[in-house]
Amino acid sequence: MVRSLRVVHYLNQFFGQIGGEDQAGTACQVKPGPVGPGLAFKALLGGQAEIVATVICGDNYMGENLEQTSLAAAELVAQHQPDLLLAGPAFVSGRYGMACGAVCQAVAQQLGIPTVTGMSEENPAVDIYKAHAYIAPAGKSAAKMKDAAQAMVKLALALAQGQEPEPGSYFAQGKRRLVVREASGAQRAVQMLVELLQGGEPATELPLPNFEKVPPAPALTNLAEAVIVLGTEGGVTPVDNPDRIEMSMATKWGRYSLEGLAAMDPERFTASHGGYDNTAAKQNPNRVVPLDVMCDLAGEGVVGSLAEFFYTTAGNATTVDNATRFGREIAQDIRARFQDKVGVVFTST
Amino acid sequence: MTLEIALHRLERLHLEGPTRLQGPDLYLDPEEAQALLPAEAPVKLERLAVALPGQRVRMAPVLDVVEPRAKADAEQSAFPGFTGSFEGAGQGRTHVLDGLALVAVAKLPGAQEGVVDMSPEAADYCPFARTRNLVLSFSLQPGADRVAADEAIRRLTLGLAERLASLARDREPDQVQALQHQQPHLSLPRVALVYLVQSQGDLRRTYIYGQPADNILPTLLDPLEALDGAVVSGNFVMPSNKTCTYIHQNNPLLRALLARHGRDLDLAGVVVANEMSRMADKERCAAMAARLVRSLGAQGAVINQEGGGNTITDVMMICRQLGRAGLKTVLVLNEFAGEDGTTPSLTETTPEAVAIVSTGNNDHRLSLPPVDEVIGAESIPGVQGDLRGGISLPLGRLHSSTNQLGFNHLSCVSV
Repeated sequence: MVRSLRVVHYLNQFFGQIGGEDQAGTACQVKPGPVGPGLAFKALLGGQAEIVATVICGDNYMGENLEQTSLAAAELVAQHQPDLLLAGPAFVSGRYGMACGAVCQAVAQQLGIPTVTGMSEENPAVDIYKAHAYIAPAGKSAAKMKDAAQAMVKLALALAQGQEPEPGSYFAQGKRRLVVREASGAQRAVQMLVELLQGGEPATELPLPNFEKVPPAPALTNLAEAVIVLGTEGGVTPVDNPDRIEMSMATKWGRYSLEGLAAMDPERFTASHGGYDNTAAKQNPNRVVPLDVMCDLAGEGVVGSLAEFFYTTAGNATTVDNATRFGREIAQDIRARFQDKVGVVFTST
Repeated sequence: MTLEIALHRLERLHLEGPTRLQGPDLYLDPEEAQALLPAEAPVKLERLAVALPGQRVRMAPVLDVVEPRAKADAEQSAFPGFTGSFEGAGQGRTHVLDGLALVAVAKLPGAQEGVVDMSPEAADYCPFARTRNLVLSFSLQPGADRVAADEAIRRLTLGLAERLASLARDREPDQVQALQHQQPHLSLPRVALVYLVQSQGDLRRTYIYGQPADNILPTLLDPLEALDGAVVSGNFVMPSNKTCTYIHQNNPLLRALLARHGRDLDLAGVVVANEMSRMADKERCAAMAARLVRSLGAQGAVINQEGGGNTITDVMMICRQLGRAGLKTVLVLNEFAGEDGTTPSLTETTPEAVAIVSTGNNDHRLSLPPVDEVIGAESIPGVQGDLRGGISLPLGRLHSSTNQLGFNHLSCVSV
């Protein structure tokens, strides 16, 4: 007889039957067996899989420190040696969606097992986590629990059996998977051209990335009154790189003080970026963050003043999703400090 | 004009003399191969070996792969500009030892190292795991100049390829493919091939009729000449990105276009152009290539890439110019999507690039089982493990795996 699969289920405080919004600060805990919606999953899983434990965490507790808390939750999951993780479904709830996505990602990375959650396509966590978890499309609210559970179970069992899940049974992950085709590349190219010339729609094998068009901000009217903020994707950080910004495929950006400095000091700043030879930047970080000449320009009155901090990340093989987020967050951070008369000099390597 | 490709099917290779064709058996006297190398040559032919599909044999670093061919007329050359003159190229009869490939193996400083693996597990990934290979393993003489060594290896490989196929001159071929490119078919859509090559200097070079393509202006090439040895490779950039001589000889895009010429399309011609390194040169090249395609009256074009990285700029510029002139285009290129397939593959795009054929992800990681025999180096950079044991390597290290003339059958899908 085939051994039944071991499943751990992740829920928030509400579905985990701890309480409502007033309990959203509850730390991670484990209950044996299925809880709440876990009973519906249990019925659908039948004899094929057994929910051995349920990990429950308050949405606020998870959200306040998503990265660390999701890793901690993953460790709780790991103690039960599961073959599969189910999380949620989170429907349209953003905080719960983020929690499910982060726990799925952490478990997939640590244990290498399939992780399945369910969300409405409007849930902002879909875009953030679809590449890291299988997210089954779900309705907007718990009224659609039965449909969501069915979709998640079907997807999870297919993955656990090593089958290719059906297209549409999860939000496409945006990954490129190698395949062997019947026709050669040349035959496919000529067929594609013939179809195009006959007025057909091209069935491209490599869709163009959909780069967001960002309209440039209006020019500053008076530079001499403006505050200039420096930024770079050149991987310049304080020498101890306190936030551990990755030199390649960065997942974060940093803001560091320039208070009292008239130039970038190589004793205080370094460069760590996987996409170029960092030697010259390490010798003189002004080559990437031109604080020295900007101070000269401020002294000459060409620009009003300089912000006493700079923004940085390493722009090397960064995912488009992360890069877009960095841009949005940095812009918001600048806006929170300077309402107007602010300009940005952002250097690229 | 008609070019007759006369195919001779060979079943077995024997490294013993006298050199002859006997039924489906080819015999090669190793002494004769050695004798093709001049006394003062900067390289030594260390070893001749036979490697057949399905055998547990691996060879590296593979430089070029060549199909044995000879013109029926002994005065003419299968590699014009290298082994003889230009007369007769693209017409008459060319004898081909079908299914046989000469594989040149040598450790050449500055050439990037590729692997050919005959194991069944590699068959879908490596086109030359599917051919019967005569492997020529070279070593450099002490102090040899690498460019001179490259030249000597090429001369011997091309010379031996022609010598072996010349044995078929006085025998009946198993099959004759008559490739024709004559009258225009005015009722059908006119199309062109933009045949991009990458030629950037020593060991990064493609030859058109024996001339380095480094600084050529885009030019017209007769489709049948292109299929009759006009293009030869000395291009040792990434092993999956370069187009080796065998694939130029059998240019799969041209073969596919000719197969539908007069049926679904009218092949107007071939524009061959080099992907230049500098921006101003790229712009000149793209403008001229696009202009030539338009002067052919083409309504559509296939554009291939050779190499990768900055070469996407050439492909996209030509696509944009043709697209804006109202032509339909299809691009053929491979991807660097990262090991997990999450990295964006296109570093440059243009809205006109709506039809792309993907020939696979170079970063896709493969594991191949141990082999019984290794020809050439025992280990090479970029491949984890001793080549005799189980190895893990990115697809890009496997010779011609994601070839951008569309020779292989790999692709990618978004999931």
